[in-house]
Amino acid sequence: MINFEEEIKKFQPSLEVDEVEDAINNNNTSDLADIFVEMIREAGTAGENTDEML
Amino acid sequence: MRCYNCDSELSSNDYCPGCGIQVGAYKKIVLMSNTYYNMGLQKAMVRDLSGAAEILRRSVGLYKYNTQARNLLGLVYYEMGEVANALQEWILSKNFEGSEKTLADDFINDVKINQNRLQVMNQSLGKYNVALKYAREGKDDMAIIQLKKVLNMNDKLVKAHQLLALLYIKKEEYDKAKRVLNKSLAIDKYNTLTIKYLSEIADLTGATERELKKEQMREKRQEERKQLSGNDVIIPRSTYKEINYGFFTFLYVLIGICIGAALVFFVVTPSRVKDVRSEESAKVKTYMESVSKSNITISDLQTQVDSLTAQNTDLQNQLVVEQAKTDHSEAYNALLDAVGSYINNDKNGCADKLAALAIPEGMSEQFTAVYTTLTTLTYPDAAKDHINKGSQLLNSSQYQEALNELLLGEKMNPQDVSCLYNIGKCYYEMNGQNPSEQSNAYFAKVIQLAPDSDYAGWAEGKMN
Repeated sequence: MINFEEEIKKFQPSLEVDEVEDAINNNNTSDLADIFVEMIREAGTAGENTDEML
Repeated sequence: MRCYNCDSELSSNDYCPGCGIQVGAYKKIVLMSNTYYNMGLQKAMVRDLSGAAEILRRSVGLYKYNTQARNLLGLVYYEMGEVANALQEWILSKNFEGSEKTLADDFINDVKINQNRLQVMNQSLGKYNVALKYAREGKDDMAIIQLKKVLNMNDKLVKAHQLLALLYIKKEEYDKAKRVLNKSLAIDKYNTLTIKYLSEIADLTGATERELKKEQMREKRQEERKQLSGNDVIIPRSTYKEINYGFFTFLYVLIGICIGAALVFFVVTPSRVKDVRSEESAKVKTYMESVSKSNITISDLQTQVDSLTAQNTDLQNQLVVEQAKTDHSEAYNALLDAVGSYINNDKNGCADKLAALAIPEGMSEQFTAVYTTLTTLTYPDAAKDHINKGSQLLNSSQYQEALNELLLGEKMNPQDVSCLYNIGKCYYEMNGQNPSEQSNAYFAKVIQLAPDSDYAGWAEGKMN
């Protein structure tokens, strides 16, 4: 049985053409590859620091 | 594929040949993104647009520079009527690609080249947002009106179809909801929300499982028909057909006949009808005038007939009067006959003839004088004679003959009590010795004229 109130809540407003620019600017375009690269870089930095400490 | 660190072309090894950095996991991420792109493409090819969009979003979520996936995602959005989302993906794709001429450029230009279309689609998105607001506020009718407008402007907007269907289901207008959802399925064939609403309608309207299975089987067959392997050879259906000249000749003749009939019906017939109507109206006018004249003539003639009838009646009355005045010859003849009898000394015969004489009106004084003289001279004796005869006949029980004689006697001497009594007695006897109206009238006269006489006593005895 459909719960109409719940169903209507699932519908989201549609993006309009005028809002595209703001949407692109506010969009976090980070992907899994970015996160992975960040992780590699952080790991590399951590390694260098450990070597220096040793 | 290039290295994320030094932008060198990567080899099949798990490290970069340029900078030596580990790229094994990075390559797996990019490959996974490409796999998702392929899956998305498969789904888009079978018009599973919502499924494709979901997979392609994952693809660009793994690797944002997968511009192919992003372009396809934009295309899927565009096909689902969401032009703004499509533009967003294409613009991002263009920026990530960086080169001068990209596929995303082509898509953006195709959309922008028809500004009116873009404006209409954008307005439809705005109206959809308004409709959604109405729906959330419970203004379902307003929302439905807005959504109908939206779908008139942008009939590919799947979520507008779904929202409209949901509102129809809420209003228990299941047929309408089903129609809207079927239209939505034509755009996005395997949209889970659409299918969910359809099955909900089936549950609510009591559609049997058998029908649902039938529907699913049909969809499955269609899907199987579309899924082709790489080895399949698609032979395009030949569109060439031999022209059927006979059929076209027949068609042209038929069209010609139709045009001719239409011309006759729309051009000739109205003018002909108009002529006939004007002729008929002229005839009717003439007839009406003629009828009017005839009515006037009939009225005049009726007046004349009435007048002449009245005149005729007057004249007939006058004629009767004149005839009555002038036709006294019979009376004169009868009187002369009576005079003749008297001269021959037949007094009784004279009296009988005078008694039989009916004297019309307007007789002369001489006639009246002669008549009076003769009656004075003849009636007394003649009356006695008739009364006696009547009495004898009465005594011999010849009542009718006696009555005739006695009535003559009465005419000649109306005061004779014995005569009157005997007349009453005749009637009495003729009524089976019972008093009758006639007998009683005569007995009453007797009692009136001679109340103390024996006749009065007898009369009184017979009256009761």
